[in-house]
Amino acid sequence: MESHHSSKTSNCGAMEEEDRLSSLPDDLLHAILRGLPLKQAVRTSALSRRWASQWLRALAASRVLDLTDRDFARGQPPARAAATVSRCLRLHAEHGAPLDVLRVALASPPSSGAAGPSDGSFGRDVVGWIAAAVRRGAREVEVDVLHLTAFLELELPGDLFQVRNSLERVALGGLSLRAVPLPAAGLAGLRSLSLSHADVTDEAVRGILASCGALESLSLRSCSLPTSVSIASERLRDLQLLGCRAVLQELRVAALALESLTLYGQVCWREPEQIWQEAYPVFFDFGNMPALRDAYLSHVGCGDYNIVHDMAYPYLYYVVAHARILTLCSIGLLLLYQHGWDESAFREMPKLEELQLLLASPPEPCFYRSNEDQEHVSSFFMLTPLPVLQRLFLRLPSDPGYGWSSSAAARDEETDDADMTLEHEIVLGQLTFIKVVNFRGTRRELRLLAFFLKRAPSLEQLVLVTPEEEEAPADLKAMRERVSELQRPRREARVSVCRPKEDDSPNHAHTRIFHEDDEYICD
Amino acid sequence: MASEKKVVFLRSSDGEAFEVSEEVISAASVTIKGMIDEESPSRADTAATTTLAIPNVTAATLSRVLHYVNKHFDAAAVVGRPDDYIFCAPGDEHPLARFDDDFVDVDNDTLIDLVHAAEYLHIKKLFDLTCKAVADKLKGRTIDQIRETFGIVNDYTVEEEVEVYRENSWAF
Repeated sequence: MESHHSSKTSNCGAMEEEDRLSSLPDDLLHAILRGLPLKQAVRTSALSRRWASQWLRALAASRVLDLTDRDFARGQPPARAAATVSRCLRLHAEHGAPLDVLRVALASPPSSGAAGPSDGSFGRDVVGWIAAAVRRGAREVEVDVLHLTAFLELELPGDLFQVRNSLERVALGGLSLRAVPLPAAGLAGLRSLSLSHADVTDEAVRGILASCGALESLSLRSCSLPTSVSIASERLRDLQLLGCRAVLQELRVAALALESLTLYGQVCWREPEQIWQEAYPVFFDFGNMPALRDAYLSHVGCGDYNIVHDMAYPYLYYVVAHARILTLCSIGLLLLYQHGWDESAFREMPKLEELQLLLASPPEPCFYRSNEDQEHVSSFFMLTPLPVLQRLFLRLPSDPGYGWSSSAAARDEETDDADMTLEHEIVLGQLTFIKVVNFRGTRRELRLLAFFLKRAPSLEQLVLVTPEEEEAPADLKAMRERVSELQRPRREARVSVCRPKEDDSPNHAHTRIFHEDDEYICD
Repeated sequence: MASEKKVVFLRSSDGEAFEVSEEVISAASVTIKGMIDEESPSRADTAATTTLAIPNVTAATLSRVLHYVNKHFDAAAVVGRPDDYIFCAPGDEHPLARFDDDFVDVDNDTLIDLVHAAEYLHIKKLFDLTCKAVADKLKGRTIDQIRETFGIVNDYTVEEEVEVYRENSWAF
């Protein structure tokens, strides 16, 4: 409305306006800079001398030190990133502000290939950061040096967690607790622990659970697990085993309060110790979990699975049968299909409201006839009563893989337009919402879609989202035409075909898709 | 004290006085609450109203601040009163989100005046709001655009500038 300051500045007669932003006192400037993402804040260093190190000092005056920006870790030599972290912590200590949270991720730049000569020297720095944060009363420490190529695993010193502290959440990547004597007083207050890329022994798991009486969330990512893992806790509400290397023989979970379970990867069969040995299935034992609300079971993108060795997998479906929210994968359905000798392998999922199905490209060589390739999917729906299913999310492979893409046109011809059929009909009476992600509109996909449309009489909304980065922009018009030819259960059902950025429809509760996550993409 | 209609006057740096409910301004501003508490023994029994000098804030800014304060800290206004000013969509997380957005949609000088005033008066919500609004003006802009927007003069030598870019190369 009014700009009462213009008169003041015009007196200067200079052609430049007064720079009132830079004239702000440091603490106000810092308050502003803390409202920016790290990268944006760092960029302000180029504005003028006044701004040269303000971003760092803003950080050093903050209760939360977050240096996990991907480009911070990968866009510069790790030595420089490490020096910045050390400098920031030093400034922080001088400033004397309380420290609540320290989050750091370091990585060797992808171009460097082999380990930089000096990477190994960060070990002491990293331990020093953690020790400083713990000493200064941090509640949360997250340090990830996983992608620092020099060390496979850095051992944290035994005395780091021996004294009581304020820690509630710890996440370590590429760091091991092996040398830490357990139970450790300094871990007693932990509510959440995440370890990635560490060797975790059963003894360690027991020690951790014994140390951390308040632990509510445990996540083991890409860890080497021992032959036998037993996770027993009264308090645990969230358990994640993600992409762990399988040397498992048995996995026992007794967690009465568990609400959320995520099993991603090959936790279900045992790698042979010797090349000539046969792999064989893991023994699962999950105790009663009456509070289980959601589960994510996926096998997609984790290298080969084996129809024989993954024999125990269907048991997991039984474990999660009472959840309200599920993510399942087509490989799991295939295993269920193969091992469901009779229909008793399939159980009702009486509370399931929201299902996300991750569809994998059928592997090569295919051990079933081509026209059977979706039978495991249709069989699952035929044999698993889903009385309250309301929302179904189908996630097709993000890359045009074998079997689903239009490039497999020859295969498409061969399989014909034959509908997916069922021995006995089913109705998904409560299903009101279907969303298909990475939809390309191939015949195979349309066939799958038709299968559900035919059996969802109450459908209110159908959303089809194209893949993220098609070289050629997806031909939405052609897709819409093809979709409109499908038999729609209700005229009123809204149908939309859109690109990801145009999509504002609801998403499944599980938004992190592990097989599309850089961290888990196998080489 | 039973009389709930107690008011104070705030006098801006340029001499204009504004009336505001004592209860509301005390809830909003730590600084003014401190001033009132200091004054109170001397006026406990009188009906005379207090006038507080706010030497660092101009009338234009003070009137904006009080507009904000009355919206956010007057319980009656927030809950009950039908209001033509606030329109909130059903999805809005905060009923005043729309008001806040409009409130900080002002020119840079006005915004920086508000930052100063919020800091001086110690109104945390307003301080956070205005700092975030300045940060949003920096976001997604190039260095040159920011310089132009705020009139920042580049006083680096060429060598220094090269060094800054080198040191923070990951961010550019």
